[in-house]
Amino acid sequence: MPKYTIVDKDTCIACGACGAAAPDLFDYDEEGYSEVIIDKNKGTIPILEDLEDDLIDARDGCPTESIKVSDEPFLCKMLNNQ
Amino acid sequence: METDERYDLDPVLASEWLPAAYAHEIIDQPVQVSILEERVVLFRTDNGIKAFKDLCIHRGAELSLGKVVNNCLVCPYHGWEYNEEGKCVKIPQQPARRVIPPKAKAVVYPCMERYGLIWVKLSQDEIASKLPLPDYEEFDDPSFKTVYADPHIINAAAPRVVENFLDVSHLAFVHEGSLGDSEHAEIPDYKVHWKDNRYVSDVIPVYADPDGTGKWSILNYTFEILRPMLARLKKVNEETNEIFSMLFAVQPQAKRKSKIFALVSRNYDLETPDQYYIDFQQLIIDQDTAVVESQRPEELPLDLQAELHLPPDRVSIAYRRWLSELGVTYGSEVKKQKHMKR
Repeated sequence: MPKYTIVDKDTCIACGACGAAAPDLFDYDEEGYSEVIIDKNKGTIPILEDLEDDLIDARDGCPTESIKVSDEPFLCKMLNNQ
Repeated sequence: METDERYDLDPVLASEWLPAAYAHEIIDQPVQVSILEERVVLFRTDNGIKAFKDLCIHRGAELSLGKVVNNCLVCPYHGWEYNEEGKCVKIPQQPARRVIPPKAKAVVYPCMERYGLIWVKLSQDEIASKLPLPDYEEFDDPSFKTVYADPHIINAAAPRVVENFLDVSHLAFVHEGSLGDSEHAEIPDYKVHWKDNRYVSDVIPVYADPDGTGKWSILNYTFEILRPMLARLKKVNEETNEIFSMLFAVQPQAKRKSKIFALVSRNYDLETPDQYYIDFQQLIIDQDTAVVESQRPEELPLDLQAELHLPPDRVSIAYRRWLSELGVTYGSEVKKQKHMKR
């Protein structure tokens, strides 16, 4: 089943843990907060299956539980409109 | 109308019930305490303990240098007597029949005695917190015995001191051999929940010694952030049902100076002399002091990007976020306020 992910930038503290766990999935935006590379944090494009383990590591290692994972695309207006 | 100077200093903390002293410290003489840089005098009457601004309106002398006579606080300088409501009822220099000016009164602070502590609220403003003191059930539970750790002065900002108490990760290092073991430093994943006006952690299993007696085992730690200056901790040995609890209250005296009050409760080894637990707690606080006083910046950074947080720091993250949401600034470094949606 495809996985979608998104970073809740409201709670992200830019600690870099997700980027360390999954460098192919997460990068920093202009403000230093984390965001999903593949779809610019929209949560609309499924991640590669090979990266799913990294994704789970990143989610579990996020100290603020800001990484959301879903089997369906996100409706991400609330999270991205900051 | 009187001006509440501390209102400008930190209206949030001024509206909190803050620990002023142990009740057993206030006997027959007035005692001065320092809260948020305010000098407060505590004194005991037949009707309980009272808290006034430690200042005689006549010439500014400290009332705490005086004495308590017939439930009145007598100024050491000219003998003016203030009753329990703060009203001046005697000015020895004028005839008894002469009216005492209504302005001749002390500033009275809300004050109460609970858990063997005196609690004072500096602000009498409408916004003052209406919340009662949080529960500490062990204090009234006859199956527990509670002792009072000696009051401890630490040259550190109060939020730093509270956060250190909430920090499960440091036990294995700062208190190695006393509470923790660096060979068992890993902290299992846990979460923090908002529940009944306080933050409560999940149960965190930690390989630890509960009280320095050498009974090493897996203890279930639960931390609670009760108020900005008040927290508690419960350690449970599920195999023996032995419980060790603490209520930890911090008095912010100045921006970088605090006083710690700690109640230590246990439901086991009730015959062990209380002094053992008092001494042990002093050892732990002394170990903490060296590290907490070394922290820079001295104020607790509420900007969560200012220091690096890991999943075991979730209690600390919740504490910093709560201080930020409440608007606490005293002893806190507020550089960047990220927009909070929730």
